[in-house]
Amino acid sequence: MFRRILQLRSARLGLGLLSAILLLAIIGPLLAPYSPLAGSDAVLAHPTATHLLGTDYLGRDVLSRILCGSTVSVFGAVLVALIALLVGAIPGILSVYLGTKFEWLSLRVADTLTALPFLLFAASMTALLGNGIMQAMVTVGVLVAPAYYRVSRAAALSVARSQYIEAAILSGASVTSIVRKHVWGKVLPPIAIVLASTMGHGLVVVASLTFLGIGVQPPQPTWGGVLASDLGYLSYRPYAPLFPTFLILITVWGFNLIADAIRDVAGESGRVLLEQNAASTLETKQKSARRAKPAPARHDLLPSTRTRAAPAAAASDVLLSLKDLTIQHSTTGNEVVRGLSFDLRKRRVLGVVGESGSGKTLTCRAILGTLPKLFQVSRGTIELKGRDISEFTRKDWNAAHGRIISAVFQDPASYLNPAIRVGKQVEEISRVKNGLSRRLARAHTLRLFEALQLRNPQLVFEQYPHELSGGMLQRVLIAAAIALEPEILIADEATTALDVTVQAEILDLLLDLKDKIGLALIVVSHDLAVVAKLCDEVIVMKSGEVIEHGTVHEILHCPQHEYTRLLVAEHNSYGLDRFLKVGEVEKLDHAS
Amino acid sequence: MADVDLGSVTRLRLERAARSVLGALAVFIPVFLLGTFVTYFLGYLSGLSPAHLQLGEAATPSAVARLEHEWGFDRPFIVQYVSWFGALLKGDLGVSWYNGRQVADLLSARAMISLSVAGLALVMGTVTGVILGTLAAVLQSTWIDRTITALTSFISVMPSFVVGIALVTVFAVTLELLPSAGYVPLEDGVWPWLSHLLLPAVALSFDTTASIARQLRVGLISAYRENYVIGASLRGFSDRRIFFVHVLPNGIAPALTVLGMKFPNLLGGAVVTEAIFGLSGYGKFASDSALRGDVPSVQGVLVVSVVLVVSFNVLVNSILNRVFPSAGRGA
Repeated sequence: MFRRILQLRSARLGLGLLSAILLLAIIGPLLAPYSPLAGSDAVLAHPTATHLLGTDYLGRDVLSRILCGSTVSVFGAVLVALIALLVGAIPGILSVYLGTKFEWLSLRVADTLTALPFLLFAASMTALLGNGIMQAMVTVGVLVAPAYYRVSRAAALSVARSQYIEAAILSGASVTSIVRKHVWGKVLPPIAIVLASTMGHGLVVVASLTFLGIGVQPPQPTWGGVLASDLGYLSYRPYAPLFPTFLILITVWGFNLIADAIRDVAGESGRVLLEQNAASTLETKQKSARRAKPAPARHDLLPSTRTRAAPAAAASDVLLSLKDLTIQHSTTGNEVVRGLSFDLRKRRVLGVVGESGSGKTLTCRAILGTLPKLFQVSRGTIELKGRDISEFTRKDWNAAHGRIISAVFQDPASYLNPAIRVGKQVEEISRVKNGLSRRLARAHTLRLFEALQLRNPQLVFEQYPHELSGGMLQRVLIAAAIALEPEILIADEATTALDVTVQAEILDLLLDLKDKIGLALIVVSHDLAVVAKLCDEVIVMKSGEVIEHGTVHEILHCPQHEYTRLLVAEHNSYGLDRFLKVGEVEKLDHAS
Repeated sequence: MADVDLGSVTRLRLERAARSVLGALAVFIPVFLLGTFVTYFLGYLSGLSPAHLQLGEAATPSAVARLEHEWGFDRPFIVQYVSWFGALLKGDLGVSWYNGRQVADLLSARAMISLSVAGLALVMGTVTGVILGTLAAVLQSTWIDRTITALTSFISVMPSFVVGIALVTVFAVTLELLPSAGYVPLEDGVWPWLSHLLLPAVALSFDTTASIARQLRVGLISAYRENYVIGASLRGFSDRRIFFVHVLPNGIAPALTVLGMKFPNLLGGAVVTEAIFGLSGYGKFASDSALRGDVPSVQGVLVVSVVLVVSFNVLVNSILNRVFPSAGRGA
């Protein structure tokens, strides 16, 4: 761990800076060319060969004052951090083990100390308690202590709750090896981070206090004190504050570099990792839309194409047509979906079956124009009502989403804004897109909720997503998806996470909607039963390729491909039918 | 049927309001009680009494004892504390040992200075922080984002006295654009008043600016990655609507929380900025009184600052609960 930190250039830089400062704090007073307290006639002199940094308003050598002041300034900060560690970490660890009363009280004390105006209290307390450097360090240490309290408490909690330690004890590992392997690794990095950052913070606070003449009285030199004596004479020596400021900033920077390095290595922030993950999973719509358009001809916007495409659509009833769709991972070049083609007609239900990772969801996302950042359509076309969607602008998509094509997904809660009442979110659609008044939009929403068999629509309207169950949320989401009466609805694993009875109700609703408003459905599922119930036509996908395409009857009763046969067979052997038969057999056994 | 529906809707709303109020009280009443106790205990711990301040060199043991009895300092600590706390609840902060005036009067005379600096700093910090954070999040991974991120991490490590001195050097001493020190009451004109407050407020606001910008950037970026953004986009909403209605209210929560935590720093940082800019507000009053050993005055300032912090946090908390109702789930 230590070696890995040292491999970072920033950590080496930080350590270098801090070693230099530490050296300065130790031998600084010895290097001083003059006594820091000795005045001279050369008042407020500019830097010269005799006074490298000039003199202050009493004619004292600024370089000597800064050098002599470094001891108090730097060691003050280090001691503050150590006092805080002592005062904070012990109750932090104890709070996990000493019972709820101590836990509650210590938490409240930590809250309170954090909420206090820091410098105001530090200055007042130090001055009232005797105005010495010890008082300053202790008060600042106590006020900083909650930071240590929190990290040591969190570390103690994670150790106390972790099951791998129990497992290690059970497997007979020695206490010292458990502590070394499991506890230190968890406890040390966060404490080290807080140590480094509080030392930086402590330096600033000690400098601020001494700047105010608190903790260390004026004649004695400190970095903050040097700054304070410069302040009144800025018009004579406007550059004067630069010297102590430079040292203060260098030191704080050094501590921060170290803290960041530990954080990076210990994966506290895991910044790089996070960004990679996020980029590969989800991303905002507009970027993919921008990516997907290879400079469309300006005259080729929606209204004109609608008329042009209309005869074709009327002739064949084809709403959506995929030809040889191939989706590629942009960095690895892997083709995650290969050569997918199908047509979706009005009021038809197409099922897409396959195991996870077979490219079902990416296909849906491509059709919806919301492919994640790292994926792109590398070959083939998707035509929505006769228009190639690669030519869609953001505006075209705004017009198409909700009105032509819409979708519901697994994990409905995540697709609703947690900060807005669900009714308002559905109401927003008809208000914004259809220009309905608030009252009419609300009435429309309540009608939708009723149609989706939500009990007590008025109450649901007022509730937030976290107050509703999964089944209710999926109904709300379907209501949102059909609010503008789209022609195509994609249901991507929409019933997967729901329990069986709710699942059946939602499937019935989808079928009902198909008949009532003439929806065409694409139902993505890994569950053959769902597909059998809903679909006219089925596509079976495996590793990004279509291995079978036919009517439900064909697929279920005479599957051609081995994988499909496996799916059907698995379903038969794990499905309800088998248990029914077993039950019947048992009954027969009892009877005989 | 309709009655039942309306009844349950009202009940839902009442429950939500009650939960948010109770949650705020549960957190902040202990902070108030403990904060004021710490303040009082501090005076006790200092061992100072008015006798030393008033009698000076002439303090004989009998004279000290007489005066301490007069002020009630020979009573047990807890009795003294209770009577002090009782007076505090009535708004009586005691009498300054230094000049015998009511601490509450001394403080209210300075309230305008401190609150205008802190308030101005709060507004400036929030506005610039929101602008920078939003720009960085919307233009994520561009050079603008990188510049803003570098800038905010730079100014977040800048101690406020360094910023203050730099501002004085540049704007007051070198460019002579703004006054370097002092305070002019609002009655003398808006610009004279504001011109004296601008530099200290800017110096004080840097920390807030940096924190808000960072938190807002992180909050907005993570909100943009949420599925509900895809959801909103699939309903055919414009980028602008998605940002203002669906991303911003959710992404702003961490920044708001930090704002509540930064307010104490604004009040506390005043100690330094007031010293640099020669303002006689709460910070200066606190350090002067503490150096003089004027315990009641110090306690008065600290108590008022605790009350300000607690009220501000209750305000931020209730805004948070309104904007982000599911945050109240755990409370």
